[in-house]
Amino acid sequence: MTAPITPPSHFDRLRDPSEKTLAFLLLTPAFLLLALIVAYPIGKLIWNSFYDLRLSGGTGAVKFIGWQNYVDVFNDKDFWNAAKNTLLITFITVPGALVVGLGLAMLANLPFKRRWPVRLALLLPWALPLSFAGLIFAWFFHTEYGVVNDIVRRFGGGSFNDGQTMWLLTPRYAFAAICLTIVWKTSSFMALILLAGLQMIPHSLYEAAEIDGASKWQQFCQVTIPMLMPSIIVALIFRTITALQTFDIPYTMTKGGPGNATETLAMLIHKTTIDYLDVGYGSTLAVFMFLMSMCVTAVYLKRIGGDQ
Amino acid sequence: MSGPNSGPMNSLFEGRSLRFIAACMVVFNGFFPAVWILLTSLKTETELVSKPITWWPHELTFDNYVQAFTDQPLLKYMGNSVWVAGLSTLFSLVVSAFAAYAIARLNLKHRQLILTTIVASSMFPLVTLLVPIFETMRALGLLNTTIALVLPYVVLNLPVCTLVLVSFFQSIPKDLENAAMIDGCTRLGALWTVVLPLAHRACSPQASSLS
Repeated sequence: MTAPITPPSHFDRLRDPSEKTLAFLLLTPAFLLLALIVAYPIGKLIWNSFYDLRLSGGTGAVKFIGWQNYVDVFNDKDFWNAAKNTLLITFITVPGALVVGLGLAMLANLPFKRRWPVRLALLLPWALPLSFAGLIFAWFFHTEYGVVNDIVRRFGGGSFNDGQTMWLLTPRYAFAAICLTIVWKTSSFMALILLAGLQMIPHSLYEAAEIDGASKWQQFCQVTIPMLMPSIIVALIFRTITALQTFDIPYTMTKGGPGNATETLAMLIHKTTIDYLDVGYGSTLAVFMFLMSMCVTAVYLKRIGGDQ
Repeated sequence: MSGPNSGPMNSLFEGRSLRFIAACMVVFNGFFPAVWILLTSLKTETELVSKPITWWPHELTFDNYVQAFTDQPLLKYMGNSVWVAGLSTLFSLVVSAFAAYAIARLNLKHRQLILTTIVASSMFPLVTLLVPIFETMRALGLLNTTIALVLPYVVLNLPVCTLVLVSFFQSIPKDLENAAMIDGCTRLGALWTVVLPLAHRACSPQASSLS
């Protein structure tokens, strides 16, 4: 005797939807959000970039000007300067943060009795807001009352301009100070990812290498680095994408100055649209920044696509 | 043999004292700026602008803290931050957990494409989208609301949250879910009572990262 099979009622279907319906329902919020915050704004941005949209003129006239904004970008010295600064910051701070982060991760991976102070020290810079890190380091690099110049005065023995270096007011030093701050801030993120990778390496690999007579340096090069590669690549890609978007730290430390020596692309876009209210041209600059990020994201997509 | 996962650094820092130095280096790197700001906050204004600068405050003062709370409604600002952070954390976790579960567990055709779309599209620099996002919010009548602030933050957190949760869901044995379903749970019920409680370990670091 079997119980008569009753067709699932409408209510049952709602309570236990088929896989397809469920998948659709579960993915809807994410895609709705992306459509609202990313897809539509991107479309609108590209649209705006073909218009003369200056809110400061008072006329409020919106004029279609075709590719004129794009032509202007190529003749804009500020754009090339900002693009150069952004790329320089990326090329300096991403490898810098990787090296420092790897060092921190390997130190933090030592068998300490009490692990929490070390772990907390790794987490702290990462948990700090970017702008806050910028403000703290701006105070460190203050010409008169900063701790950096104070240390130079006390122990520098007359080197480095006898501790009178105007760190944030000299183009080259301001750039170095900003890069240092970014490396400090972002190396802990690297260290956290790399530490997780380090802990996955089985100890037997090192024992095997030791039996084969590998030196410590060889163990590092032949075991640690290859085993860490997946973590390193993920960390590098995420870091590169955020490095291209650098805004908070230079903004709080120098506001792009002196002149525009430390102005990044994101800052130039912010200045053009928010301060100068030139929405059309700002949108065009944003399209260029977009293309830059897309190149890196494409590398990333190829990477996670290749894994599966 | 010491610790299980130490590698070549281990013998370099064999002695306890050397390991202590290593710990000090990491701790100094992480804590120095915070400690310096704490010391600075306890100095009087005249001490702040005296030369040579002092490392340790000569006379402790808490005036700066009193001033911070009286010059502006600081408590209200802090409340705002907590409120926005809490809401965006909650939304991020819900949205990304839903999406991650669908990608990790359900029989989807283009799961890799869906995952990369979510991750890639939320990696675009939001700074460049400020003006269009503002226009969107105005069109939706959401200007000057908390939601207008929360939604972009949710998008900002979507890629990392989704990636972590996808790999976490994939690591939970499917049998657990099947067992729950044999016991009469619906699929959503299994997600709610079995998978999500297990995932809270993966969720909590996500939650803490959003502040």
